[in-house]
Amino acid sequence: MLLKVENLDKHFGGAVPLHILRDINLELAEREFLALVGPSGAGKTTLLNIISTLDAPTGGRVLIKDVDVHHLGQHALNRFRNRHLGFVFQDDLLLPHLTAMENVALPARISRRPTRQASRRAEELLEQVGLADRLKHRPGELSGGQRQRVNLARALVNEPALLLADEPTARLDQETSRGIVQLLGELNEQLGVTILMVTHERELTDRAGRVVEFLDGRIISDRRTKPVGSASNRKALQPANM
Amino acid sequence: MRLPYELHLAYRNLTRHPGHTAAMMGGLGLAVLVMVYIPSTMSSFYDDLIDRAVEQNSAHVTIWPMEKTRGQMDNALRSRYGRSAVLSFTDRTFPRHRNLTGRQALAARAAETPGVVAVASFVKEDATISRGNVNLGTVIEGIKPEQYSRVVNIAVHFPQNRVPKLGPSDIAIGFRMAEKLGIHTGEHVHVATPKTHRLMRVKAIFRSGYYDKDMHHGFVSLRTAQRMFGMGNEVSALAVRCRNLEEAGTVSSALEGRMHNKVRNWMDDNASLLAEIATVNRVTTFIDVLVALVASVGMANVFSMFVLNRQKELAILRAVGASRASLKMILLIEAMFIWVVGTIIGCTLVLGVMAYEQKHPYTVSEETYGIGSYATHPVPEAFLVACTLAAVMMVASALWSGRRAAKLNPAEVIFGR
Ligand SMILES: Nc1ncnc2c1ncn2[C@@H]1O[C@H](COP(=O)(O)OP(=O)(O)OP(=O)(O)O)[C@@H](O)[C@H]1O
Ligand SMILES: [Mg+2]
Repeated sequence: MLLKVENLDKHFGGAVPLHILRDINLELAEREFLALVGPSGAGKTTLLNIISTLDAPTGGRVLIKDVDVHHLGQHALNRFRNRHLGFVFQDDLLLPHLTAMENVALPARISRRPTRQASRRAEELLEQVGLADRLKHRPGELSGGQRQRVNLARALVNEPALLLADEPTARLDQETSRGIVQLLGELNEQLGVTILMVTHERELTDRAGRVVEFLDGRIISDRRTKPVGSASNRKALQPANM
Repeated sequence: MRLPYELHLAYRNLTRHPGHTAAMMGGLGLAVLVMVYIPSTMSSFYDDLIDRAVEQNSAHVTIWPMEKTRGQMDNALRSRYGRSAVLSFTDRTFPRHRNLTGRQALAARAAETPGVVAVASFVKEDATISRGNVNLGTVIEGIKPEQYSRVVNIAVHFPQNRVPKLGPSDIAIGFRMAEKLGIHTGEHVHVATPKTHRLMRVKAIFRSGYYDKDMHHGFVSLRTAQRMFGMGNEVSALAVRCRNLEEAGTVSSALEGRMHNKVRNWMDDNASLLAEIATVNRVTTFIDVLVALVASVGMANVFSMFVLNRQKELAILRAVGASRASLKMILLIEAMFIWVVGTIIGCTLVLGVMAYEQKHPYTVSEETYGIGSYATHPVPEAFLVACTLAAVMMVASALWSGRRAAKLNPAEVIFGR
């Protein structure tokens, strides 16, 4: 198993103590594409943040590649996140003063890959997401959909074991969101990237091979719609039309 | 190329808001300017004062006859009646002159003392100069111009920077005295000592910058002075020049060990000036530290604003795997960038100001200070101290805000909690 979530609990303190995640258990195999759906406030983002190690659980544990990530030291955790996890959030988290290419290359440079190699990889990825002609543009000069694709390219630059996407299509028009989801589907099918995606929009879950439904901090259903790794032809990705 | 990304990001951050960055560099430059300029100008001023006082108007070290602390009669009475029974006093009307005897041997011994570069003998006695019905009390100094110029740079006070040859009846007087007597070069004055009275020709008029010296001082030849004061072949004292000012202390104690004479150095003679300099140094140090503190607070503020404005970016960096050390490194590199450019700006500005002053020196009261004008010249120590302080404050503010940046919880920032 690539990802194992065991008896995960999350409380939030504060004026009114909240019990957001209740005893979550979830397993994700390599090359799976899982869509997490559920109403607003169900705790999807909270779960994703904990899996992405940006937040800590109150109880239970998260194993990624058999590593108990929340018990790593600060430094090891940084490395782990940098090497094995890619994330796309609903807000685009790009550095505004770097070009698209520099943004994409950043995780590679943080992992101390040579500048040129990092840039070449970034360029390839941007081409794959259909932004070959926007390499030198800054986030402010890109549309929302284009920014989201830059985010996606950045999430992939270090060839992560697991791609976490939290509503990657939020705030985008339907056309554009479809494009993004299609891209994710292709990544999964053709490159075998394991994906855990949160979305509100049920119609976008068609692409995923597995749909997990969330309600009030609990998993209420878990269905598989396609077999894992249904497509094994690892062709190069065609740029999506967006 | 394998430039660390921290360098790249720091560079990008600085060029992102060029105006902002330039303002920080300019601010640091101004702080450096002040921190270099204040100590430099004070030390230039006092260097000039000391130069005037010591190099041009008195010797580094002088050797005088040993004064008897008590008279022989005094001692005899004390031994007879006991210490407490005798009240001693000095009779100021009684001529206390004692001349330096055996000066040739003394001069030779002084000359071979390590650190001594030149020795000259001189006579210094009181006389009266008069012309018409104006009388002026005067210190008559008898010198061998050649020899004495090697010890004290009096030449710069004379026209053409040369001490004239002084014949048996020649005298050189200060310009204020000349004005007071209404006299010009080539005219004559009466010089009266307790022993003689003679008519002397004014060979030259000098300008020392010291009010008292310009009003009440005359140079004659050593031989003439010895005759005027009936000193035979004796002199009043020896003037000694050391390799440099700082050595005067050690040289004078070495001399004291070698002879039974009273040895004074310029620091004894200028104790009040030195005390004043020490005070001024303390004040300028204080101002320096204050400027550094104020500038540090400013810089630390700007940096923490930097961090505050970039919280989200820093959090993103952390989220994609940058370590805390890397965030600090980015801020540190930015700080060093600002430091390098800021200090270059500051040093260039201050050198510009100094160059301007060389052309347009400050005028100060000549009567008070003995120098009519001065210009700030670059003092290497001031540059060193200012640049170091600037570096310290930049590093300190970068590290301080770096700590805050490192404490950021990426999730909290990114998800706006
Ligand atoms: N830091 C926090 N402190 C207190 N409560 C929090 C905190 N973060 C989230 N919550 C609460 O936890 C619950 C789940 O939030 P979460 O963001 O996981 O929902 P979600 O399923 O992602 O919803 P949406 O679909 O609207 O994004 C919400 O009720 C929210 O108010
Ligand atoms: Mg959410």
